[in-house]
Amino acid sequence: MTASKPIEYDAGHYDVVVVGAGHAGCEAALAAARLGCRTALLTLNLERVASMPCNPSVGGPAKGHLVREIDALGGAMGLVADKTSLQARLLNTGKGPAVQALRVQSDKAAYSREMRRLLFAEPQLRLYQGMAERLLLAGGAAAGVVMRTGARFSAPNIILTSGTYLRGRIIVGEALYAGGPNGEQTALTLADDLRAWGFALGRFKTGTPPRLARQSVDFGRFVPQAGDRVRRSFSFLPQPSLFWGEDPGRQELCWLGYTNERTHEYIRANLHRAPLYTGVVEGIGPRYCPSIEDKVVRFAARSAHQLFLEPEGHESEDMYVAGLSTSLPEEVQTLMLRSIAGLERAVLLKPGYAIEYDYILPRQLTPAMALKDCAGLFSAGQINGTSGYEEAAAQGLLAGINAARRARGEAPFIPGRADGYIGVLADDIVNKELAEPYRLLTARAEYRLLLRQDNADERLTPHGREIGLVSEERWRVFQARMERRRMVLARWEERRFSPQDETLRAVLTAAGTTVPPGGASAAELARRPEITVAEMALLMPELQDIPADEMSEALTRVKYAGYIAQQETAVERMKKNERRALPEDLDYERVTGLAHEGRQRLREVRPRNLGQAARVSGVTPADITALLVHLERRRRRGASDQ
Amino acid sequence: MNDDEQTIVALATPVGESAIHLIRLSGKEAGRVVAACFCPLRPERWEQSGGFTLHLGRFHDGGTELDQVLVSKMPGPASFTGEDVYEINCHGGMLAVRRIIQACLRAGAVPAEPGEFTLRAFLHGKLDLVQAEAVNDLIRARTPAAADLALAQLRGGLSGAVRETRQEILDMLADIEAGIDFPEEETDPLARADLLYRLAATKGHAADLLTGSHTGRLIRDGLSTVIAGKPNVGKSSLLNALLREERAIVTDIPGTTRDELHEYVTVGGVLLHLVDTAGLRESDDPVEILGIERTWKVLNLADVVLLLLDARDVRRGELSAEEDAVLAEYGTKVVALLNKTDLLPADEEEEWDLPALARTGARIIPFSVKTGRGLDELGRELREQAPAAAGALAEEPRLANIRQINALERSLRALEKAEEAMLASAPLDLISIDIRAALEEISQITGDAAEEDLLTRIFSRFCLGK
Repeated sequence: MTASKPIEYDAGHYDVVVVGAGHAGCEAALAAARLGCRTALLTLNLERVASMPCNPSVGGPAKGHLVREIDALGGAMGLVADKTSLQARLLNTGKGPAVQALRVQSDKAAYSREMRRLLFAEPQLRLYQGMAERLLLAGGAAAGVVMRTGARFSAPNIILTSGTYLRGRIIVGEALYAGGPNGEQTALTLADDLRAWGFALGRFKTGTPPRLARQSVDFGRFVPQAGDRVRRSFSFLPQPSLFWGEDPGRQELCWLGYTNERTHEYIRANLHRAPLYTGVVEGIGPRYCPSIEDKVVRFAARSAHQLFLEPEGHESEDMYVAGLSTSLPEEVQTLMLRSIAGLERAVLLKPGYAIEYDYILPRQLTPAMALKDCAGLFSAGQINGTSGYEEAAAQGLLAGINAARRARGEAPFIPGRADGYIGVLADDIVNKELAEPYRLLTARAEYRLLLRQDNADERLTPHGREIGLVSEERWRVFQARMERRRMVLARWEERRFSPQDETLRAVLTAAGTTVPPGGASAAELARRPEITVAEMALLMPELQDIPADEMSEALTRVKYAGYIAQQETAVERMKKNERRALPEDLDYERVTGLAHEGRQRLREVRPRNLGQAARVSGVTPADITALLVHLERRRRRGASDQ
Repeated sequence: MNDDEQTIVALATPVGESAIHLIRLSGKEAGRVVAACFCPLRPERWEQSGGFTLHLGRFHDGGTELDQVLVSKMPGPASFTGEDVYEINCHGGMLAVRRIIQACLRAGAVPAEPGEFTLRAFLHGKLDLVQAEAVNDLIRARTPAAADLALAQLRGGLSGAVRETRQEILDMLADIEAGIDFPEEETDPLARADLLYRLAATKGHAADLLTGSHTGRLIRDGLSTVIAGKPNVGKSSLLNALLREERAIVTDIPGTTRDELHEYVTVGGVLLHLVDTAGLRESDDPVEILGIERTWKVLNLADVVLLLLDARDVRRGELSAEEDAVLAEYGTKVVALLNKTDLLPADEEEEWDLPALARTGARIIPFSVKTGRGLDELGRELREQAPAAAGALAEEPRLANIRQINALERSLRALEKAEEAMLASAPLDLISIDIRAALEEISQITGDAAEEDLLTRIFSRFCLGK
């Protein structure tokens, strides 16, 4: 067969073209279309939009925070995850207000269907199935995308959200083949095209565990993990689950089990066939997501590792085996699985695999997700070296917003580190050199107490409103919530209890704390460690109509006011340096006194302000001082490096 | 680089012996800092002065008087840096300088980085471009060195101890954070009682570093130096000679035992905490025996032993049993001062039994308290004997030390706050704020990156992942 070049044809002119319909691409396309841009969303498989090739869940610490923020800005993930949830749990309830996070088990097929429904409901959005082959760039600016079939989508704004599809390579034991996740094809030429245009790419690796047939599992040998009895949702506009409606008692279960010495024996005996150890895998894998072979080698003293069986859908036969990510040969995977109590007769549906892929070194990005060297070209999600559906969706939303703002001639929207995890994420990936796929952690947020999941709306909904993604309904809901909170806090301040008050005495005694001899206000009582939402409700029954999550949010504010003020002061200090903009034409070669590494990194990242410059990895305080001196000299000479 | 909101303080005159030293403060809060520590002789004149005036008064630190000083007041923007500047002229003892700076730090100032006054002057438009060219050189010349120096100064025990304490803090934080970010993983459940215990222990270690430990004391209080020798060999004369060398300040540590005589003196730029002891000899007198026993204890604790020998005994090879014992026991930390060389003909020095003496590891200096012979050499010797302490005082970025101590103090305060929060049943995400602050402060001493180390620690300690 001889290769022939298809004849290019004009497939339309758009404001924004999005390449890839995963979690980043869907948010990006929805945001751009909703902001009034004529948008095209190109995908390899229209039946698999917003697919979840790895774990069947959304949320958890930091990730759940992100989903709340996406929702607060007017994104889709929160609503879709709520609607398609099989089970929901609030994690970290005992560890403090800042780190509590919702996590739902998702019905993968329903998630994809629901997202597809939202996409098709957008009048400004056109969906199209095909493989993007190359970019059209003209004069250092985005111009369009050409498909393998010759279709040319012209647009001044392109968002690349092609995930792990760039030069994807699947590895299962000795089996090696080009491919995307979950049996998809890989994007064949786009990576080479990006390289040819001069963009720097790196190579990462990630992996996924095997899937088992549900009816082959003896669930009697596992410990059931139920969802919470209280109904909670990601979205500030609650959306009942398609599967359990408003009745938490109908949630699906997950199952906890353990590996054993026999499992580990099979793994050890086959390490010589493990691609991770034979040198077949070249990409760098994440430390937070080690394969089971890695765990057995690194933690040799452990006689058991835990695993969770998680359903992939209400009607799906697939059980996801969380904790058992592997790229061992298929037959070893089967042996290993069958050594586990309850999986003696397990049937393997899909083997675990490792996948290697190219990613764009994110130092080439601005925190608006725009590639610095090509006007109108954006990238978001795993293509930027991150991992996780939530991280991808957040970047997609950011890229969609900023592509639309560019199309409308507006300044980019860049959330800061004190605005949300979305800001931490964007700032981290552009300033740090990634040694592994980037995953968001609450430990990465220095103002964690300010970035709670319960105040994501307060932090971001006003921004979303200004951008134009917050609907009238959401805005009304938001304002009502803020009004209720002001009222609760005011009432707590006003309401004083005399030490003789019968209710007060009863409630405080029951809570195991003393009655203040001089009496106290409700707010003062709220600061006591023994006092929870339950006691506050008993003390002030007139506030019983306020939803429990709002009461708890108000209580957090009062209880931890000191720490919150401390973090707010730190934010102010940071913002001072953020306000000192660095000129775009700053020539770092001309800044005397920069150390070699600092100069190199500053040239690569080209930070927007002094605060960002100080966060660039490899830049020392001395470099910042040298930069300050240079800026002052430049100012005196009249704003030029010459 | 400090935040330009902060008020900086540093010694402006060269480190070492001098009749007068000048300590400079610059920044918004400079006036408030000085007012907190300075009692002017004529308060009304101090209050009313619009600036560019000199004021005599006493400098104190929480009630302890430190020195009589002259303070000049130079409000910005007409000052040299463009900010409010105060200069404190104090007497030339390094101990007084150190304490005055400490008092300013406690009142809210921060130690100036090398070149920072010049930098501020430049940034406030007080230097022209030609002068400014030098600013960069200043930054580059000194700052990377300063980071190394911080560690170099902490050689040996202290560095190890600081790192150990830092590691304890890091481990605590990693345990908390791993549990938070991976709630369903098999991170060992972190019992609050266990955490409280670890906090208390780590707090103790940090406090030891500041106060109790040998090396911490060395940095704060100088090189512990014992003068030993048989009665009438010239110990008191040596002490007086050293004190005369230190022209200005001699201070006692209040509350320490008076069984021995404690003095502070700087010799060759090295701060010595001098202990004069009872003479070493055989005795039947019970009181004297007690005194001699104490002398041996003090010798055990000393960093340096100045063993004063009679040069005539050395020449005859007739050292006493006690003198031999000191040399045998503490040889490597002994500086043997062969006193009274003025009573011997110079041409006989060759014949002294020095090899035997040298084999003990002691450094040997022909000496004469009376003529002053050997004093300079003693200074050089002390600098060599005590590189850590010498570095602390003899090199220009000496304040690195005060900076380290300050960072350690802030780290300790953060640990104390974490402990309080723990006892008040605060949730882990709040406690982690304080522990993280403690980690960041102590990391300033070792120069390590707190965040990356934390993530590495979380991932290496626990088996995390889906």
